[in-house]
Amino acid sequence: MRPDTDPDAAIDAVTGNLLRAGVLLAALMLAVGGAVFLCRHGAEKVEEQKPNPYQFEKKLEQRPAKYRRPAAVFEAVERGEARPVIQVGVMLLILTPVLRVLFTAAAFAWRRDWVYVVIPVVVLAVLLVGILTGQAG
Amino acid sequence: MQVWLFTLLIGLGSFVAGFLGALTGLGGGIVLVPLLMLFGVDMHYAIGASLVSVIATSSGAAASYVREGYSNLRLAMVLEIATTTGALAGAALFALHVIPTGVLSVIFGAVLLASAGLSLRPHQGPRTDPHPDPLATALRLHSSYPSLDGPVEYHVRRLPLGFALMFLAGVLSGLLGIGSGGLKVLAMDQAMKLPFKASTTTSNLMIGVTAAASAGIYLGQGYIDPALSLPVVLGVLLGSVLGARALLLLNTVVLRMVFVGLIVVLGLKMLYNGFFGAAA
Repeated sequence: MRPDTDPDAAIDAVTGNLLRAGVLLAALMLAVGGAVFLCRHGAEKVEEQKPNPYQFEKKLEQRPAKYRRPAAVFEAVERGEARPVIQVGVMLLILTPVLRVLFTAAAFAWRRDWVYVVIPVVVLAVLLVGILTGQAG
Repeated sequence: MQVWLFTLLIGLGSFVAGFLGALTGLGGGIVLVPLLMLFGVDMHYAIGASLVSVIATSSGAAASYVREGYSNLRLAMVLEIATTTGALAGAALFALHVIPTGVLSVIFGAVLLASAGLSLRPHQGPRTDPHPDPLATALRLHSSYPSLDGPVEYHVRRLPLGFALMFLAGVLSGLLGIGSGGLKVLAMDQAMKLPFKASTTTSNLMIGVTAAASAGIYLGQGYIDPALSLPVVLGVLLGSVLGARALLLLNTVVLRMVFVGLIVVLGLKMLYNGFFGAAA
């Protein structure tokens, strides 16, 4: 279907594989963390969980840092907690498209196609602003 | 309710949403937030979980399309400048609580109804195109996609209009936790005159990055509940994978009507909630 001479084929192939790998790995972390979480907490009441999905905490301090800040997430994983493992999967999921954009920049740099190095870098900058802004406060 | 039952029910609901979404090509993401809210989940957590699941499903789908050469990677990159900045704006509006929940609900309802309406429109047929956008030419955005008869070439038109629409799509994505695939396809199909297969596959590719832009803010602000993300992400993923397979086996016309009907009902409910306040 795709002509063998298509120069973009290699970039597209790696991009596709990268996306698939990210999603699968993240899903695995969700499944593993989720299984442990359900074993430990499955019989508890939803309303007694922290966070309680039925009620949103108005104050930021009341929302657990171990689900919000990467450093705190990994610390909690080291302590053996299950939900932070799920959150690592979530963070990986968020990172997957970021890595895809990074790869695009690198691939076009390899090709010396500088316009298409600058464009992904601009997107990466926006993504970075998003991540950093979210961590503030 | 016990955690395991809650997780199971949410998982089932998400599965159905993903399944119908993939089967009908309409995407399950748009019904997730109203569905979760029907279960009593707070809108903030619902939007957070929905956004994360949207990254998963769109990236999974895009993986295949990109490898086969349908998605226009360069066009996606250029438009992503618009969608990601829009997403930041939308997420900021959401996180700063500038917009009251009632208004958000109304916006969501309107988007749902618009999606239902859009899905009933016939697609544009193949077009002969005399006016490729000069900026698009300069950026080498014109491309082709594979078909049984060999590569189908196309040109990109009205890039600035497409760019503006993509910004709006990004704002909606960041504000409501949706993929905005419908608006993205609309922008590429109607404004930029891409062939349908190129629009849908390129849209899929862009949804992930757009969602990731606002997800950074959502994560830091604590809108993403891991215990909720678990059934939502896995449920929708599984549902959409199976739905895509079932596409080849089942008669989709009836299911499509059912899904469009569901979208309309949920849209009306969101409008109602927004105007009159949610029933206890």
